[in-house]
Amino acid sequence: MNGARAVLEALKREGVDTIFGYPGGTIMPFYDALYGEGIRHYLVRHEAAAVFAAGGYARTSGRVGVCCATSGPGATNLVTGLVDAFMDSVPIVAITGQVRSALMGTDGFQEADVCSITQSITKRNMLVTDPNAIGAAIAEAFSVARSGRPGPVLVDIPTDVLKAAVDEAATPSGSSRRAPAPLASAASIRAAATLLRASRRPVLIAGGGVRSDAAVSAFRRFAALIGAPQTTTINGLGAVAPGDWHDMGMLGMHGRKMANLAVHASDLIFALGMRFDDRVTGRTDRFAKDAAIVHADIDASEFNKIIATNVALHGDVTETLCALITELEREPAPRFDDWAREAISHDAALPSDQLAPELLSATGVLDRFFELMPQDAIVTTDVGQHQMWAAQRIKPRDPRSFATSAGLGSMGFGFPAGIGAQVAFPDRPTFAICGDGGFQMSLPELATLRRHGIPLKIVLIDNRNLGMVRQWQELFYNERYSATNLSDNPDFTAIAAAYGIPAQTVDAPDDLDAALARFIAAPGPMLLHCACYPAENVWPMIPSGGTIHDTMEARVASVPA
Amino acid sequence: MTIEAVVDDQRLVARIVNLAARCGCRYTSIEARPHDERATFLKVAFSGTTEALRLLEAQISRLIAAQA
Repeated sequence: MNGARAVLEALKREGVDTIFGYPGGTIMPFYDALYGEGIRHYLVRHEAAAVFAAGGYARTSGRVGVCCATSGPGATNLVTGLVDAFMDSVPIVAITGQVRSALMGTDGFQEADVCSITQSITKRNMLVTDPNAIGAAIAEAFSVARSGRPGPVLVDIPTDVLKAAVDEAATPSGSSRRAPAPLASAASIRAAATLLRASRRPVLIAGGGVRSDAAVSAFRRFAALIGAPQTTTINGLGAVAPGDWHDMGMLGMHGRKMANLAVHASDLIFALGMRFDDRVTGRTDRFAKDAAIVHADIDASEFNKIIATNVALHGDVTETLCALITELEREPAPRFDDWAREAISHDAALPSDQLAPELLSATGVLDRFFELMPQDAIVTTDVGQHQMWAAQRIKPRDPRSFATSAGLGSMGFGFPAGIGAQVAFPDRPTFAICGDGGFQMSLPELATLRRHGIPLKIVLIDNRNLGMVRQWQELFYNERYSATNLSDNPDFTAIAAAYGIPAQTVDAPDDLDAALARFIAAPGPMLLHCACYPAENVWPMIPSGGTIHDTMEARVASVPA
Repeated sequence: MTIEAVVDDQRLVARIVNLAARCGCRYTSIEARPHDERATFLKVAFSGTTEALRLLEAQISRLIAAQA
């Protein structure tokens, strides 16, 4: 057995059956070991898509996503996706080839010190120089990636190490174990419950830490026990039980106004598995300024990082919520349904730009799409206006049914992440919602769909602009539209056809329902190109660093032609 | 603020120095020496505003905890 075979066997021990990757010189021994093996390898057309696909796979399935690339440019093309996974706590193991040991440090062909490059964007990375250490290194990588706060791990292996003989007796048996998670102390649980019992206006905020089935279940039980109004970050969408009238939707910069108002009026915030991102808080000294903060997180460094914490619940959020439920069953808190009714009384239809009836609006497309979409669908998005419109409107059945690049906001994510999600769940309808800007960053992956027969469907919101930047230029840069006009976009349906992917364009509201019906019912992959009005904005909007009082809900001027 | 730690990965020294700069702090002294065959003893003193040092300390704690 050589080192490459040892990698493969270690992956099998971890239960890996899917890899996204792109071959090259130094990773060739691994590809040789893969040849004819049972592990499914999805050949992408750019390494960035491999790591985004692994991220989509991991976000939707809860399993560790695996990607691989060669040294130098192959490895550096993984960087954005690794940061993306780091920011959103997504478990990924990336395996990279490295130049042979004797060349390392000589500026050899396709040499890059990828361990140094990725040190700040991985939970751990390792250069494996001993072939007999490969098995243990891969096991460690998986353990680190999925333990505690999940995240990406990179394993860099010189090509001579991949080729070298391995002493099979040195190979570990069995898979890695998840390190035990910390448990919130009993005293902290009691303190949080005491605050809740004394509260009049508590608000629950679920973040990306409430994604696992167990965490979602515990969150819904906790919420049902106390009847408080609930909101989520973008990564927590789907945590609230479907149909629960306490749901206020997403909060933050483009969140529902009722959610932001409730947080502002709250006297107690239960922040569960969230990290007070600036897109959530706006101006921090005014965020929930009258509220005590109970913050539950598995990562202790999140406490007091942005918002001062009154009670820190350091531990696995599922266990924390179960402990809170037990404590409240012992000594109940009052129910907060009256306060919840008051909070949701501020609900209002999402403001939107009023366009002429013959114009196709992106919000109109998405409103109708989410009405017609199958209940068990998985949705991924790219980044920008369409992402916010989708996040405002979608009601995923659980958080793993919606995947988006939240913390990093990586354009080019949505399409390959959709590939990863569809591969994880081949029998569930899966849709990638993309903008025309981001789609063109990952467009060659149409070939990946075709090659592997992946039935992913793409909703392309084409407003012929880098829409979110255009919106900011309109609102904050005196309408100086610098480098955001994409009016010379290509013919997307022709491009899809060239890749062998069916496509159609819809450009009139009257045609939308029929187009969506055909699109959703299509048996295989398909692109729905929605030619939308270019100057629609995302409302509401709290400007960066602003407060609830700065909320913008419409243009001051009339809608541009 | 001074931190002392025994770390398995000596590259953390560089990471911590970079983090200090990112958090708006600077290191005022640094000592790194072998602790045993595998581990490195690390002692670094930092200067900076209270807020910056608080953030830096949390980030370093996360780094060191992630090693465990």
